[in-house]
Amino acid sequence: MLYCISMTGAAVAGSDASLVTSLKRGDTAAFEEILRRYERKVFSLARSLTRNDSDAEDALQETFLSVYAKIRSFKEESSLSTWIYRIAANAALMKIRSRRTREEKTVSIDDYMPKYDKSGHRVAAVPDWPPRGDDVLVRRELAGFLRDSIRALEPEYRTVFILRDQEELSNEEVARILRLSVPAVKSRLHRARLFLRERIKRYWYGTEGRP
Amino acid sequence: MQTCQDIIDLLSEYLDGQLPAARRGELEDHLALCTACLEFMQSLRETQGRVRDLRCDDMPAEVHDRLRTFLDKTTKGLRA
Repeated sequence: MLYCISMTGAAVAGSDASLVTSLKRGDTAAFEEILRRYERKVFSLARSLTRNDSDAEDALQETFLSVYAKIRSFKEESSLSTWIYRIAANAALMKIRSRRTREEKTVSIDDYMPKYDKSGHRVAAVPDWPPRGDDVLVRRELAGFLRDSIRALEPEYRTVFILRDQEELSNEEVARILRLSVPAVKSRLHRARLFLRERIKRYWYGTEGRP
Repeated sequence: MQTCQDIIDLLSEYLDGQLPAARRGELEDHLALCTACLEFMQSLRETQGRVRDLRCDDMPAEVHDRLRTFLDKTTKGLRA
């Protein structure tokens, strides 16, 4: 049985690094503790990325199977959390790619970027966002629209955006997880935010589909 | 003088509190004079708030149980 109490019991309350050391020695209680610490985070990330509970669950299972099977090859050049997030993001992206070819449509982010005149000044109606109601019904409807909008982001933007603005990791952590430069993370994050801002604007003006 | 485009390119870093003081000052000077950019910044900030509200950490108990069952089966024969 995998999930027994550790014979030594030493690893359970330890740091992530000590859990890794214990698991490499075959201490299954260390794996149980890693699961306890990270399963919700991984599921949250996978669900945010895939926007599909079944795909998220598959990604969750694949992630922890990989953690168990590959722990000996984990060289600890990054933290355990970065390594797990990287495995989880890749598993979720595989699901997205598979689903995308079947049914999921993304939109071109360029169509949602701000417009400027030749001198670099904004070309926009004022007010940019119209006055609007903000009751519970509107909030609920907008939340659904926003979820759809995040799903419509191209995966390279969606992944950065979810890790930064929903999982609230730092630019540096996201860069390590996705093996990107920090400037690339910042650029993708900014464009994703601009995209969502513009989507909401069009939603308020009724020019973009409502959920 | 900075253009609206220069300012908007910096807004994420500004809202994240990551702009150096000198650049932050230039940006705020522009926002004080440019209603369009000020409204843009406010709407970008509101967007971030609405996105944060979407976050959901709940994991159904059955997902937790199926994960254990899956790992119990698939890790047999594997040694960590």
